Amino acid sequence: MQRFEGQVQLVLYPFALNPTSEVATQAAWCAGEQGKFWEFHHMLYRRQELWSRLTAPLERLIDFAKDVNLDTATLRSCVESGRMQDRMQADKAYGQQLQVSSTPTMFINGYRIVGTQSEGELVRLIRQELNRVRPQGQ
Amino acid sequence: MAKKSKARAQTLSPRQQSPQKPLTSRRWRLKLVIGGAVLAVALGVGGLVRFLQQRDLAPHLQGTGDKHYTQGTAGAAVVIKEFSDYT
Amino acid sequence: MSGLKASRVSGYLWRWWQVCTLPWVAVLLRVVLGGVFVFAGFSKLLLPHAEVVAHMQQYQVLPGWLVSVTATFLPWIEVGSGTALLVGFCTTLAALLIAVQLLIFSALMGIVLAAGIPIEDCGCFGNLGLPETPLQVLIRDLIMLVLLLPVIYRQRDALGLDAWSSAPASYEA
Repeated sequence: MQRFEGQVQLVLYPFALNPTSEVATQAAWCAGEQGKFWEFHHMLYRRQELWSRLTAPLERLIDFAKDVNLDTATLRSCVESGRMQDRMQADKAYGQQLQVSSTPTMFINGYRIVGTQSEGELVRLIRQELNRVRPQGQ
Repeated sequence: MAKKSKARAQTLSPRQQSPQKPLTSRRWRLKLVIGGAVLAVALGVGGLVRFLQQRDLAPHLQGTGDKHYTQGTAGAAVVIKEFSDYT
Repeated sequence: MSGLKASRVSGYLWRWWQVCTLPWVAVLLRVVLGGVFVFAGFSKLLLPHAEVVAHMQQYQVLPGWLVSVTATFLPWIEVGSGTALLVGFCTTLAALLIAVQLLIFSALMGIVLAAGIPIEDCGCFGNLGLPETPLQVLIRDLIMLVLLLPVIYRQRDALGLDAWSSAPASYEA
């Protein structure tokens, strides 16, 4: 993102594919209410091996939440209240509308990419799209 | 002899006298037409499916950018929408 | 003793061949095999192109440019060859084209299994079919390859365009 400052915007749609991921997604949204979405988001990926195989990961995630200075009681009550369910389902429905069936799926403007791509490949695709939408010299 | 030939010619039926087309040749051509048409329909349906899918994508992509976490510049020339799962 | 076993095996094979080359059985096999390929092709056409590319990339066997080309053309080849076989049009050619595809798929699955590449779903039927492992696909494809033989042998059967067009010669005005 730093490489393309001012030229590119990333919009994230957490797309939960299983119950464990649904808990993590709701926890991330709840962390966002405390202004720590991105910190929690990156932490989820960094420690993925430690929680992603659990059928009930909430306790583990609450534990990890302390490391990003989140109010764990608020986080827990937010997740357990189910307030984020609608938001999560809306994102799922939107993804299904776009025929997203596997992750990660990215749309660079209208161009769909499925699966993990190397940084080099992503940079190439972004540059290609930038050249397309902004002719040379602009 | 000539009289015999003439007589023979006169006894030939109109069907035997006119030019003959093998039925198999006509059927073979018809087979190509029908088979080609079936293939064209099948491939055409496939093309239609792909076209409709692509046509529906663009308007859907324009929606629901708000209430989502973003990085980078709002209104940028390139918008990357990422759908990812945490597991 | 081994001679007795060999003759028993060849006896079973001969019986299998006799059954499979019964006209109605050969037609059924033709329709089923053609239908499977039409279904496979359409299931891929229903997916976004990038999804098909992603399915093929997981095999890690084909180079990048070939993945994209294959993902583009394979669904159409499947639909075309499957349709032709289904209606009995240029049956031998369609069956050979399908046989080539099955041989390539089988070889691909063999390489994946030998290399130990983990694949949960082959993507053979897009999102419309059950997930299949490489071993399941390999077995299925080899069976289909064998079942193509009576179809090719009996390609001039009833209920197909080829049979209809090659009726005994007669004349019309």
